[in-house]
Amino acid sequence: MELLSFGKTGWGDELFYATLMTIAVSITAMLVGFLFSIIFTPLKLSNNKFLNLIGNTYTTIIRGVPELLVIYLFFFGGSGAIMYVASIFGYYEYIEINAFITGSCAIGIISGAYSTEVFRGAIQSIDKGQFEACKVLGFKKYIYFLKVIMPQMLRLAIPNLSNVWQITLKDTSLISVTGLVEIMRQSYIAAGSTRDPLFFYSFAAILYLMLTFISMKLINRLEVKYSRGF
Amino acid sequence: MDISLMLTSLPKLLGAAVVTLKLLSLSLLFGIFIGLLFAILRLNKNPFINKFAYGYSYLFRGTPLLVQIFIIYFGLG
Repeated sequence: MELLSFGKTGWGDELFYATLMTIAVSITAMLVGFLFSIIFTPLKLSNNKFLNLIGNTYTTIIRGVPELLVIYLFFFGGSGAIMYVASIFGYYEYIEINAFITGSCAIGIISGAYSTEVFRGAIQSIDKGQFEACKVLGFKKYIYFLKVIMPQMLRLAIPNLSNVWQITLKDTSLISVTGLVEIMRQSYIAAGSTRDPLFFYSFAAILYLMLTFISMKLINRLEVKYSRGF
Repeated sequence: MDISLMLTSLPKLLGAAVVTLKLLSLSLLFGIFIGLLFAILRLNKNPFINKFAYGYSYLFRGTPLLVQIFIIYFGLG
């Protein structure tokens, strides 16, 4: 327990800030993922074959490739690509890109692919009559989406989105390879300097379990709220 | 894009792909057996056994794979 004390002798405060970092990265990644799914869900549902192909390519590639590979590609490939562009303009120094931003974007693109699938499934399982009724009543497109489709879609999507959240939260541990100090990286540092890997990695596991447990409780409340009236 | 470098590293990557396939088939095999075992325990009427099986799946689904690998690899060492 001494190892976990706050202050200079223990690792408590470091692990606390690392946990906050994990939460921050997960939330940013989830939001980036929502942005991607807002773009790609309509593409996947489109009747146009070409747009459809773009949407399918995105989800198929991202879901078929290991998360770690995407992170490596972003972090090492990304700085390589930026340096290449900079070298055209006559700048040859090493450029390091921010680990938080690249990490969140990489995880965000992954979680975006999963949430795109969730939203697509949810919209497709809404009764066709709802769409037809909206057309017949002559609603404007955004009103019919916001007032009719969206509430029904969210009700169906939230249970699956909670799975996506859990995947995203766990995927953030992979960003530790880029040196961003989140739970996994901090436990790695602590395990290395105290030579007690079993303790610190088990503690990291407990921290992740706590995060998933608390978020599941919160999401369950949301689920109850959105399934009301049905 | 360095095409010749890509071509020379291709055999190595293909060899590594074989290792990936071996790992995949072994872990699938173990996974199916462990999964079947815990599924049966999960259906047991005894609350202790069935909670134990639930705890197993909760623990492994709720923690990142990287943490599990590190615990097993470094922790047991």
